[in-house]
Amino acid sequence: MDEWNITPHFEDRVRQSFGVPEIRTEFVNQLNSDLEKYAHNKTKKASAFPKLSPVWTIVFSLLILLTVSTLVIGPQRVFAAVRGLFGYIPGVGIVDQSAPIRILAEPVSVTRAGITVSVNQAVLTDTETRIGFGISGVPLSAYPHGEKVAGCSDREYLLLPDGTRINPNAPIPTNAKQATFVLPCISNTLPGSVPTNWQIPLRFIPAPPDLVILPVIDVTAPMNPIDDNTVAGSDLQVTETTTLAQAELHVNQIIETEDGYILMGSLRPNIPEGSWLQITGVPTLHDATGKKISYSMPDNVQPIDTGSSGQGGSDWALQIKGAGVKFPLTIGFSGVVISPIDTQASASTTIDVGMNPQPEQVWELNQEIPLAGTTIRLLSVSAFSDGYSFAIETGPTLSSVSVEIEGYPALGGGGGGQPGGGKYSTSLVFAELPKGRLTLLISNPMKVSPTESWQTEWQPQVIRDFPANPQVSNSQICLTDENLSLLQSLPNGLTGKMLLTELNPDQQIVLQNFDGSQRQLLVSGGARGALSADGLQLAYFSAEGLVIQNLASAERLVLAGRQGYGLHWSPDGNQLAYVTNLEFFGIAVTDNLGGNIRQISTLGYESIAGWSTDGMQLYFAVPSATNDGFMLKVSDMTSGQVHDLFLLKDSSRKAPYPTISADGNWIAYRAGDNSSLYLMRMDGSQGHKVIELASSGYAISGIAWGPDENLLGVSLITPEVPNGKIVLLQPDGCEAYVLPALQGILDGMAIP
Amino acid sequence: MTESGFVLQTQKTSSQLHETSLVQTARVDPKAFGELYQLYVERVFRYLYSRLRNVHDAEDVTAQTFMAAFESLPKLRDDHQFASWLFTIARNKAMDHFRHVKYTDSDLDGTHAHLKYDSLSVVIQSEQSASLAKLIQDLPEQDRELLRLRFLAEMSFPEIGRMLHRKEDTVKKSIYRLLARLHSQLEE
Repeated sequence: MDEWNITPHFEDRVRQSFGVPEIRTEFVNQLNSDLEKYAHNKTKKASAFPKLSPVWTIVFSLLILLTVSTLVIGPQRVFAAVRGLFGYIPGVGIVDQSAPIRILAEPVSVTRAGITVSVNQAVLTDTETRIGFGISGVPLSAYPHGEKVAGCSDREYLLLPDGTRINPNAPIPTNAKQATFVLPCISNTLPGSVPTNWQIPLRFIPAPPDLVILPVIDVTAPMNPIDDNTVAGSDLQVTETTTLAQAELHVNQIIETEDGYILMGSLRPNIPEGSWLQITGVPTLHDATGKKISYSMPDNVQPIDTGSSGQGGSDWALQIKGAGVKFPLTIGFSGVVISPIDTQASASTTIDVGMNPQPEQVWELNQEIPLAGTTIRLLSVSAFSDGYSFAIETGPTLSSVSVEIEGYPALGGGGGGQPGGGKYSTSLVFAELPKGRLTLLISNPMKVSPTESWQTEWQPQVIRDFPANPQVSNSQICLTDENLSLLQSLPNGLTGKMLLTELNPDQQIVLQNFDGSQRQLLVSGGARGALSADGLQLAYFSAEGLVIQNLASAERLVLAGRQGYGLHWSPDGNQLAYVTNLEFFGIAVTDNLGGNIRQISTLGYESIAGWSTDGMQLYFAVPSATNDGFMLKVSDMTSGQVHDLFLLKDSSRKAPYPTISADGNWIAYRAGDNSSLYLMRMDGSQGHKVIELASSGYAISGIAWGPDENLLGVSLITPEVPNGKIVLLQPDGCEAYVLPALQGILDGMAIP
Repeated sequence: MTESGFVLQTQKTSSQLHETSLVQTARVDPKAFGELYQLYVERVFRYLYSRLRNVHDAEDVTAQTFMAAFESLPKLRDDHQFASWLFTIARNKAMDHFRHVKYTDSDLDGTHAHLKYDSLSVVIQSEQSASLAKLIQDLPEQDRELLRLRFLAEMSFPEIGRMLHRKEDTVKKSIYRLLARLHSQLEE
């Protein structure tokens, strides 16, 4: 096929196969209108302003005011003025507070067919509306499963009392005291699977005076000494920028939160057109003592878009806690610059690989090839089963080149080398290995700079005092970033066994003493086993089905056709609960011989928390419609009735791993950051954190209780131990120990 | 060259001249940017949706792209390269978006990944389209990008070449080889 016999029909099919929906007219008109307004302001000779996404329309108007104000009253008073305009509402985002703000009078929810849609919050400003809504109880069966068919994608909207339909982010006129939130369908669900056309009546009231709105403070290097008398109560922030050759890093705005700061800034490339700045690694923050400061990226604060993020520039927002931080902070980014040398340069050479090239066959060439005014050296070509690899010495000026084999389109490939140039290798994969005399086309010479780092400093003008962990002041956190590396090994005397899923070198289920002795490999290739309370039975899923293994006799019962996850033994070892998406969608309970199977719930993504001590009730958690955690539910084994218990507040949205202690008094669960751990009494009281690991790279991968509430085991993914570091806690006394001989995902614990 | 090919070529050239004139006008009169916006908004959205697979994100990044383009238009060196420049901004914005999502939504265990509401699935009208979509989905990223730029962004070969720093002829050959391969794989 050449360019003249590709039919328009085939091109249309390619186009359609991307499945791109029609662009919404409302969006096109709204953006057009925003651009017109911006252009109008620009023609009035306003300066170029930074932009904020997605609420950039607010920012435009604010920054126009900022510029005009600068001329009139000078930078320090502008700062004070800006403070009055921008506001950050925790959990909502940045809003315009130049006009009265309204909020939702009360959360409203509607439940149909076991599914709840809840509008939890709304913030209305003159320029936009923020609606927070959640959905719970949608069965997994309602979503597409491998059919390559997308579910419903109709967007939600607001219906005003006069019948006007508006985008849910559009401003609601101040005279409209109510509106209807309309959800035509639940996103991505299949037709007919769940109720559609959800209509939720909303009522709006003026924001109460105590609504927390934190100022967004523009960071400006002071032109003159700060006069505290001029700006009463000023805490003007100071930032210093180090400008290096390739990029500039700035802190542009900050928000003072209750326990620290949100920093918003930009990394601006300063490189020739056509080059690209590639950020490598993650940002780093260090305080004045050199201590690494942990941070998060707040998901409701979009970094300010400073308008020149082309060429790999980036806008960012980082949130830190202030306790224990010595200012100034040093913020660091690192990256490389990728630059084309000569886009027109090309060269070719030939190689004869014969008619029967073999995998691992190598042709040593050591051939010089002029390219882009320099000379590269094709060292060798190696064959593998479905392609070739090319070893190239690029010389000091180039870092990479593209290689093609003329007439043989590659299915894929890859390459790598040293950033500063030198040796480079690239490979090409083909549907069928090219044979015979091959023409190699070499082009696209690129240069990658050595890794550079960019830093900036920032410090608040007024140092605030931050109490350590104010939100949990009545309880003690046993494990933090600070003491994790200082943990002692478990002292002699406490013995027991742990059921682990080891990940390295191979995935396998093992049972091992706390001190690492008596390691038993139970299932090679298996994962996430469940140990019965007496430690005698192991259950796990394999390709064969659900396997129940007697650890004393080594007998195996294979229940073919059963698949799922989250296995939990009842206390007496006679029943097993698990979540399945195969037999049906929901929690299944079966006896230990695989009989008497019952369906307990209907979703297919529940998290089983455990059994009551008498085995008459099963606890599990599901995402709540309020979006602030999973809801703990209980199912009565006799009546089959299920009811809500309480919210596992701030639980992980991905997998909270709720785990009830064997005595039924406490529940442990993974927090929203996935690296902290809460304990809560089974009546929903006394929720508190016992582990708080804020640094990036940490995650809790498994939780298991000992025989009572006094011993809790946790496996932690850490940068040093990515397979899982095992820690034992005694929550009462807040003692914590590391088990250095063990690694893996913790699935169970048995104390003799 | 067929007649229809010639007509297509002529129309393209004419449209490019008009576009260059719009860019020049927009430099001095920001209000004229609106015409460029109308010319490109759908193409930018289609391109971004194909990368982000989410209407909301695609709209958000489309807005960011046009605002950045509007703001940076004075920096555009060659008025004939508006399309390459605009889609470079769009691609960079998409990458920024992914970087942000990666930082804020790193899934350490993968559990509950199915709960993400915006499916990666594509709308498929027929079994044959499904086969083609699967073939495209399995292509290396650089090949998918070529198809996006050509068929969703509707860029010419020289425009794609400028954007990807590749020769026009190389781009052209790569795309037609890609189409030929897809075509033959479909017929197998």
